Amino acid sequence: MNQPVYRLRDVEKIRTKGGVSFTLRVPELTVFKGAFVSVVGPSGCGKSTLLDLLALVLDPNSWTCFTISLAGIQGTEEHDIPRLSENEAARIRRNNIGYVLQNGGLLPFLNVFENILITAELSGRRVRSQEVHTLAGTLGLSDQLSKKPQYLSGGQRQRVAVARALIHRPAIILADEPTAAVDYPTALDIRDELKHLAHGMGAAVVMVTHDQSLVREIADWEVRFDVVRESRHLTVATTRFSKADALAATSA
Amino acid sequence: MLILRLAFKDLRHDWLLSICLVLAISSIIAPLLILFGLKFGTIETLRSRLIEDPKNREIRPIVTRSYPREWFENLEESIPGVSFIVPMTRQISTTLTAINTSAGVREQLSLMATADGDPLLLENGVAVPEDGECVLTEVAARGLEASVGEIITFETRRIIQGRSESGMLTLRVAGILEERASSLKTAFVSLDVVEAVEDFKDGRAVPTYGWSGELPVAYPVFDGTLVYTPEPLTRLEEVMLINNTGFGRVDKIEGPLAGQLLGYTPHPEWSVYQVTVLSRAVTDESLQAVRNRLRGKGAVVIPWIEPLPVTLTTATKTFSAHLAALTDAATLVAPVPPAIASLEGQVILVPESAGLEPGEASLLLAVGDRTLTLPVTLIINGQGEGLVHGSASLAGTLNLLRYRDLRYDTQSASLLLSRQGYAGFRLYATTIDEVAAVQEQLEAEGITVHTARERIGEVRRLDTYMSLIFWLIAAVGVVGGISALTASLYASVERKKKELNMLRLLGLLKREIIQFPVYQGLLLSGGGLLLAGGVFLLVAGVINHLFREHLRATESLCTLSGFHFAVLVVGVFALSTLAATFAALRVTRLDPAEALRDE
Repeated sequence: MNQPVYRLRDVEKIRTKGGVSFTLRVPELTVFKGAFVSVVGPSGCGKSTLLDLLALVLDPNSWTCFTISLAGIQGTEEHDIPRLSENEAARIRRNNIGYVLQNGGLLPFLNVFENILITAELSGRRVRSQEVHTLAGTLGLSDQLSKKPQYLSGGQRQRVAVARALIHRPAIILADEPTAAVDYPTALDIRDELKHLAHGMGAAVVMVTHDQSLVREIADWEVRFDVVRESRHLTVATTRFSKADALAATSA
Repeated sequence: MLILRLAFKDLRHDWLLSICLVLAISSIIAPLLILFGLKFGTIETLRSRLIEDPKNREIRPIVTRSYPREWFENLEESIPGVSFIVPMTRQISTTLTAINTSAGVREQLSLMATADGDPLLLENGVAVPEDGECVLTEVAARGLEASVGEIITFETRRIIQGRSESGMLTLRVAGILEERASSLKTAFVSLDVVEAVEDFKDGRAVPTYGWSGELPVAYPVFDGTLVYTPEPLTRLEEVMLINNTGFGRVDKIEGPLAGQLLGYTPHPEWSVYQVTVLSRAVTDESLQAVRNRLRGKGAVVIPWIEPLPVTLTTATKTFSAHLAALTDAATLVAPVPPAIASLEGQVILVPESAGLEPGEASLLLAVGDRTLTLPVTLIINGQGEGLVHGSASLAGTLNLLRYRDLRYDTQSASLLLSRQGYAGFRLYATTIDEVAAVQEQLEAEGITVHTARERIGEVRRLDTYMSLIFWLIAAVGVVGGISALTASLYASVERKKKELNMLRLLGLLKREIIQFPVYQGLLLSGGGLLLAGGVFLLVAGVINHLFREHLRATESLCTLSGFHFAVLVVGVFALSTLAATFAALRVTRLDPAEALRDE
């Protein structure tokens, strides 16, 4: 559990849109192997920006340390993320990262079975269809496998997205508001399933949510944001990274 | 392969949209295909018709004049670009009445000479008529109610000394020439027939068809004369022999040459002179003039010809020799055998040394490129010295072959003059491109001709203008097509923005991300091409079917070659690839996550 997957120190990302500048500062963030990290904050605080940095689709503007450690041929290999080429980043993404989007992000032209299997196909990992059926059964999707995403409910779609993020057994699962579009009980179910399945295969989970209550009980680590609006045109958000247990203890 | 499969699945998922795009693409391509199809079809049809149609390659003289036989024989070498030429007689003597006795129909028509290789007949699918046959134009055949295989009687008329005479001949209809090739009432026959009709109209006899009249009997011509005098002639007397007699040179002959010239050595008391022409041979008149100059001097005058190379063939033997002239006056000056008395008509006196049997033989005479064969009777006699002899009349007449074509007519058993020349001709250039050059060469020879040059020029000009207009339309069409195709594919990639970014987030490489819309573009434009090709084939089929009657078997109004299709496919695929790549690069420019959240 003490092996870090992501290590971030003094990572800064500046985004400018319509003359308004937003700066995300990450003084310190470490994601350990198999850990569940919750990223909580109101909208516009930089949750998604942080997640995109972790998903290797955004390059930081400055950093002291920003690495990802992955199991390679000769043991663990640490990559300096900002130095990765676009294609290297894409290869790391397809082999090591599962992504769950707010609205599923399923491919509408593939049925559930194909949607789940696509990550496996891309990563080149051999997955027996039995595995898909088992995973689908765990997520209650057994009857939906041949349907196209458009015929599924919101909850089912998110479950498919979870299955797709897991089937190729990635080391990291990034979940961006995976339960925002479903009712609370379903959200809890999906959260539990994600936690349980990821834990089962030893994957680290970084889950972004605006709902603190959803992750309070299960998160190992927590990222929060201190947002300072310095002017009309400049907002700076700084992350606070802490162990969730300690946080729970102090608030209790 | 995964990307191609995903691209195809996406298209199948959005099948309605895909069909719309395929239809849009094919509706861009199909009209262009038909436009180009018509261009390459009609213009090629017109052009090949223009090139192929013998009518446009035909060249005819406008003025009537005499074209000698040699002119025709040498024409194909002297004027390049001539594919066929046949002589024509005077227009006025080609008109005659054709009678279909079985149908009881008479029709005025004109004859036209044809020969092997006549493009007007062959390129319109009719064989050249053989002896005893004719080809009728469609108009003539209709007028005569005649069809192939029927026998048609031709009647030609002439008025001789106020008396109307007619000559008949019959020919079998071997073919009918379609109206497109000639709208005249014409019978195409071999040159012999046309010549015979003209001869008849000119009052001459045509033994082949049993038509009576004058025969163009050949006459003797001589290259000189041998003069034998008891006393030598004075210089003045010698000059008198060539002064205004038609001869140009006089030589006193001494020694053995005198014997070689005649074939028999003269008695020594005679002085021998050879009087010869400078160029063209002379007739009996000149000989008579020489005789007159020598009147009262006891001179013997024997006509002389440059010995003619002849081949005598009997049933058992062939013998080559030189033929000289001999008259019975020779008996006065040389030891000529008495058989000379019977040397008249087609009798040849042959020396014993030849070893020939007396009696019937055939004589072959070849002078230059003219040849002549006639039957002769051989008399064996004498100690001749290498020469065979014929009467002055026979030898002189055969000597005419050096200057004129002769033929032996068996019916009248006489040597007749062949036709010297023709009043006109019908000529075809090898291609329309040669017409102007041939015309210029003929006109350089002073022969004014009629050609289809104006029409060729007009069609060429029309072709240029039509091409210009076509290419303007086509350019607009192609530019529009390119824009529409690019826009359609671009828009379809734009619609796939979300899926593309999703795939990117799942870890597709940049190259794979671009492949996805490129494959889709190729699939869509491939479908569009197939559909457009189908529509084109259908429309082209309908067009060609509708105008089938006006087309020949190998022609079509609307057609494209494999090369055109290949250019089209390569062009459309290249364009689709370009459009899809450009669009894909644009829609994946943003961060994938941002693009996904940007809804």
